[in-house]
Amino acid sequence: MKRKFKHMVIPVLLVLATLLIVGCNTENEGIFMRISESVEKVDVGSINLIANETGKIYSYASKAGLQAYDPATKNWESIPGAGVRHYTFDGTNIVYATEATFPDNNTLYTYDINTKVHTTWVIEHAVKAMSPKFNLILVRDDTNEFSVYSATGPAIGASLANFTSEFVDDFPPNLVAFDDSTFLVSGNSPGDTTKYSHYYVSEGAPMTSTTDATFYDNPLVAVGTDGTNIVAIDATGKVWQAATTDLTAFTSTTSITGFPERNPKNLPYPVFYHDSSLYLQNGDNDFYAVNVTSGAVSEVTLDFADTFSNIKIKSYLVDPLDSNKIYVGTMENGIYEITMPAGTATDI
Amino acid sequence: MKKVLIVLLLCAAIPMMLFAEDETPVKVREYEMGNQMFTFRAGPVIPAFFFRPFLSSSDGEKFLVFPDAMHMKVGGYGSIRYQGFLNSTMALGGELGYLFAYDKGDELFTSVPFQAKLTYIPLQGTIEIPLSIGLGFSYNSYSGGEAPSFLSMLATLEAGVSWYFKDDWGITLGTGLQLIPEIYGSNHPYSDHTTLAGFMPITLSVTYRNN
Repeated sequence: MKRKFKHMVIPVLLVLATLLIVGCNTENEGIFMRISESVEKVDVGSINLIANETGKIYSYASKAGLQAYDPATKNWESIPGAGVRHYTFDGTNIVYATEATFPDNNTLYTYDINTKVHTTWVIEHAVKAMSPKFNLILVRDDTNEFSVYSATGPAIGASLANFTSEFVDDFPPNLVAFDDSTFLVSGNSPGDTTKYSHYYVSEGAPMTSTTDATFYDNPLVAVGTDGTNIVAIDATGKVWQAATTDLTAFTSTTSITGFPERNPKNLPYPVFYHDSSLYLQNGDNDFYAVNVTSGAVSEVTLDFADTFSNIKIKSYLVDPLDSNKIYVGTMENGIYEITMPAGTATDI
Repeated sequence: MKKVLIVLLLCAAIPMMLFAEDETPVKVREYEMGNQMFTFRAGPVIPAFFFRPFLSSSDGEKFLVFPDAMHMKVGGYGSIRYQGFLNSTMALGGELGYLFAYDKGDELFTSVPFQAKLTYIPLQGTIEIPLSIGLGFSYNSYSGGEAPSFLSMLATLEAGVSWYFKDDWGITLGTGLQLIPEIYGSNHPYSDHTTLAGFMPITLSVTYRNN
């Protein structure tokens, strides 16, 4: 009998030990705490914010397409437009391009948010990227040739930057913007497509590092400037810092913990700028601030970090009239508003 | 007046006494050591409370009661139980269950409790009142974030009313409290997230008993 009992006890203890090992919530937040902080999902999907104009927040929602959201009534109004692929805002119009298969050009439209009229552009363009918040469009002009433009009415304006042989058609580069006139273009190098080339705004000035070859290992996905200081963050979360007066001297300061792996990895990473720092959420929903002057990284402990501990963020939009007001488009939970410098966040 | 009352009482009592003689005495089933019960349970579960003793007031309330405050929705619970009688009123056995409930963001919390269960049945017959306590473990997981999970202790308290519509088969309407502690040591970065969670299943059970 004793022997039988022993035979039963050993497997039971083994099962318990295994469950303890696999079931240890060793470093994460408490499960019941997370549940008590959970928030209702909003059915429009992930929200990429475009503009805040005339009391409405314009966005592209993954499930619902282009939307105009009224925070006062909490009403989502759909903006008709099928197959929208790229979108930006020129101050009056939402400029958007529908999908196209290489080498076809995309059809472009302008949607006037006041008159609610769609206008089709006369000339089509091979649009590779648009910066949703800033009036910037990356276009493939010719074989292995790319340019950045702004929209001017239902047409593109003068070229802001031109790259004639810096990138290749097989791996189109991406556009990473800080504001309407400050941006970089980052993509696979033509000589060795396992490496990446990065170019800063003014006529495509190259960004390089004479001391650290890993600068070319990954695309840059975020950028911030403050005076003559510039920081860029690559797809692994490594922070690179230099002066805009010497773009050949990028050095890595540190890496952001828990930076998520994404596919494709060259997509711009959601960040917002406030008081000389870039703020971003990592893959574990923790917030970090990257000081643009020094490149130093610190964990954010303001209230909004706690608010978003259970909420993944898709995009930010700094209010054009009040830089202390930041709108937040989430992956599943609608739109929030952060008030700086207090750092409080509320759903709107 | 008194005579009339006495006559009426006699009229009522005499026939009752006569019929009582003809009735077969009802045999009340008595449990004894070695009798067994198999029970299948299912029903909704109401999230009852979260108690966070170490949480500072700036981070939230220590005590959250009922689904709205807990940011949970009503879930479900199902289990199977086997018990053997130790004597005429006490049965000991085990129960394996599955509890689920969604949070406000539609993330799923699940718990698989496995426990030793002691049941005391003070009132027996066609109608019975079982009172149970359970002790064991629970494997808990959550679908949000990095899908964390943990193994915890478990304590349960239950009461119910059973009706045996056949000699061997009965149904029970019961409720109780399942207590699941989530404990983090003082060195854990989120030690203040230590929580005692209470869930209240309301179950309808089907029991088969034999002796």
